[in-house]
Amino acid sequence: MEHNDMDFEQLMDESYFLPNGAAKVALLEKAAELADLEGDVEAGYEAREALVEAASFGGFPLKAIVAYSWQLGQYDRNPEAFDSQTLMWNYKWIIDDVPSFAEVPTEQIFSLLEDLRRRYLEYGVSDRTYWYYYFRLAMGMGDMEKAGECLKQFRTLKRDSMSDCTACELDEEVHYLNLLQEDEKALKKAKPIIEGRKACAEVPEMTLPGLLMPLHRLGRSEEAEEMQRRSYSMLGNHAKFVRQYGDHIGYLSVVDPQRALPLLERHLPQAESAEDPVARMLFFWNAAALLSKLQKTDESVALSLPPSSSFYPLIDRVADLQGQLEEQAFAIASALDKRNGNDFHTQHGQRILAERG
Amino acid sequence: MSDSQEYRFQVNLSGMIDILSNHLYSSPRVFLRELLQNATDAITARMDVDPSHRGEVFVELAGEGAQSTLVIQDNGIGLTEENVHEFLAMIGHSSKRNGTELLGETSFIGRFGIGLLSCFMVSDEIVMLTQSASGGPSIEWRGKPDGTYSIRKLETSLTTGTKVYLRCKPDTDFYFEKESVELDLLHYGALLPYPIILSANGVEQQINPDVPAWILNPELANSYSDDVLSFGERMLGEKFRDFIPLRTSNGRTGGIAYILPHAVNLNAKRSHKVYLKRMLISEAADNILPDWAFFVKCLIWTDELQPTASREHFYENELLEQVRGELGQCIRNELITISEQSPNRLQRIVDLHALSMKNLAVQDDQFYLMIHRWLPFESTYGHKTLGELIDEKRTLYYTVALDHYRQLRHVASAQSMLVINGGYIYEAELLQSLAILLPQVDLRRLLPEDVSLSFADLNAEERSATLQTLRSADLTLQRFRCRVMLKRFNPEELPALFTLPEEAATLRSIERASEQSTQAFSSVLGSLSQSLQDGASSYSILYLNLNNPVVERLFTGEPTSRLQTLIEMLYANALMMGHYPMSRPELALLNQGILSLIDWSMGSEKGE
Repeated sequence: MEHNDMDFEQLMDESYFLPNGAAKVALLEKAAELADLEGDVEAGYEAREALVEAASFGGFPLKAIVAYSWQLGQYDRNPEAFDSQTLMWNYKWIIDDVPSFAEVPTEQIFSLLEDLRRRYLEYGVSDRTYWYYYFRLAMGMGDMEKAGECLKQFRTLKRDSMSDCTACELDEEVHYLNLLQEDEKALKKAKPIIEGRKACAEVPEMTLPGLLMPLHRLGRSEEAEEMQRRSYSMLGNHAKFVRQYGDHIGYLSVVDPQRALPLLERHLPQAESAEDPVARMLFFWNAAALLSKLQKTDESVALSLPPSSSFYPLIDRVADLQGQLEEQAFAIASALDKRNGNDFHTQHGQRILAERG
Repeated sequence: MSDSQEYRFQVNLSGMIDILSNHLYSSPRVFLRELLQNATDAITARMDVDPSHRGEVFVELAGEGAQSTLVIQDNGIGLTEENVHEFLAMIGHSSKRNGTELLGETSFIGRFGIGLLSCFMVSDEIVMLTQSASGGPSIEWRGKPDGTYSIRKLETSLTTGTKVYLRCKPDTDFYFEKESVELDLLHYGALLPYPIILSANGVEQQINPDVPAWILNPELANSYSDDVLSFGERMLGEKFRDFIPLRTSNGRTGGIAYILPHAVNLNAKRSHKVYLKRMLISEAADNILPDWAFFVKCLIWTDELQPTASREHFYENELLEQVRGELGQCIRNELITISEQSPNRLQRIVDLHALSMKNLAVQDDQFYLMIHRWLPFESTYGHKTLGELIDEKRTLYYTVALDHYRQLRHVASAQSMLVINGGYIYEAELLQSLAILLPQVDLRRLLPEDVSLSFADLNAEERSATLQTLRSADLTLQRFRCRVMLKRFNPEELPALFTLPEEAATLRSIERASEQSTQAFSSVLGSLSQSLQDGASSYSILYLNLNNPVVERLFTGEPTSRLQTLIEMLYANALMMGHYPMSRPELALLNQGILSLIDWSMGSEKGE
């Protein structure tokens, strides 16, 4: 069937079985457009509800924000017409997506967070999710002290119907310890995830790559090695895992740079078109570290990239490619830092380059 | 009863059972697998001592519903009294530290105990009678889930082997039904090299067929294809038409991959049946084949992989990675062979599993090269295989987004351009890498803005004659971030074509969402769109077609006072033709424009 000739229901059906990612997002966007052309708000809402999920978990945070904004506006205009449970639940993902974009000023981010808090209280749940997402926001914006305070608040409250699953919560706490460079504590915290006792749709996929360097730094090389293989094979080939591929490349750059090169070639085209600037930034740093490492050992290193990649002209000029990657990554970092009023991301980048390059 | 002694476990047994049933095993039904495993281990141990021994497992069901009982008897090596104390001690020892470490236990005796304990998931009392091959008295062991058990030496001597009695506990009678026991015994024991006899309602039957030679030596399978297919149907419950023999180079893992006779979706759970040392270990082992192999359902045996504690999956390690790689290689090689020997058969398989074939092709260049001619694509020349498209010997243009293809296909068709839709899953990636793999094919990526490549520019004379009007037209659409260009293109009935580069499309969607959203979100969207507006590609382009008589009239002579309205109407019309949802100001254009047209036409009737 030609996708151009499909009607709304066909597009929705077709998209239903696809994994979260570009193809699913494209079909749902088309469905939403069709609904808009028909002036069918209910259908437009249904398509966007699916779109928000596919985009949030498929690596398209901007598309998720746009679709959600539309939904929330429609809901406020006619709250009786829509299911508030899903709408409220999805708000969390949006809150998480927004700070990645440096163009959005701090006060706008926090006005969304306060909006979420107000709506959640009205919905009848506690502040637990508010504090938890405040914790995540603070981490994303490099305010580790605030993140710690939020974590304390969050821990005093009981789980409710808006709480993330326990595996996801644990994953974020592990992430927090990672950012604090508390390797041992992070690994201890992550134990239930590593052993498979805590898992969900995104965990351990999201967690394990971040534990490779901690394991390596603690001299637990065999575990790191086992985990690298396990984790990479779990990730498959999905644009949504750009950050995680970066972690793998960074780790391999330290222990076995030659093995990292195919990963770089495979995932750089995904990374450069990633909608999430933070994912792009982290991947670029790890990639740049690898290229610097390779040049130290092998002078003739060259890459294979598809011609459609914007880095294609640099495949034989690895030093220039490395420079480009660093420049773009630090540009994103400094825009974010400027907004956040600190130098968290820039420092993070320098640390990656120093450690893995 | 003088020889009978009361003992107490050094274990919180109910805690252990809880660990087993709630955290370790996926379902209580695995108790049967554990019992069969114990019987197998016992028979194997006896055959190590006496190679001429012929093993047999006898299962007997009696009673109905809540009164059901199950007896399983093997003629394996049996246990001495010392053995029984040993496994109980081992359980006690391990459970004092952390219940789960015991589950990694691999020694025969330790495993035996665990296997036995799993029966508490379905029975409140386990009675075991055993006679060791090494002599000594026959032993009776009775255990209860509260932690008490007794051991008794029997006066009479039983035949060598072990017999376990279970009485179903409330709400587990399902697991004692004949059909369910029969099915499980078949699935768990299909590859065991000795008979499993089930006796129920006075009828005895052998459950497992003689193990076919071709499954242990898969290279023989192609000579027995009818047998292979019917065995597959019995074991996997589907009627297959094609299969692929699997075997790793060291010969320690092998089996049959059946090609699914229907399309599967990408999220489908893979459910291969995997046998470890001839016993079914998993019906859901999803990590033994590469991800892309979801068009097959397999029967696989192995004696080299290490099971996880639950014995339902395999440890992800280098060995598994290697086995997975080799099994994937078998599938790939067989497909190559099919492509050479019977291309039509391959086309049938590819058509059914196009998505997974494309996924595989994305990950593996060699496979892609082999199969590319059979992969189906959507194009302005219709639905064709890539081979057919290449045989057209034209420039193959491809779009990387569904949206782009939609914008371009009508105009591209009118110029006889061959454009392939690369917007669907994996297709853009495939077309991109085709450029590297088959450099002789003239393959180019097409962006919405590129469609003008095939448009004819105006000559110098035309350009100067239309310049002034064009400038006014361009100015008119500035506020919609749209530029106006004048070209000549086919079809001439098309007055205008609207194209939307990626960034401009994002901006449009942000603006439209912002109109509908809440205040907090509108300001966030405003911030997000700011950085996009700076780029040149944030402008959409309206191409006007000078081949079209109406457009030609519009651009003849001096700009008319009506130009602005007419350009706005062409713009709105092009948006509608391209199925673009319109923003409020754009809808307003349409309304005002229509009113103006009505007004003008009435004026002209009155002879104004």
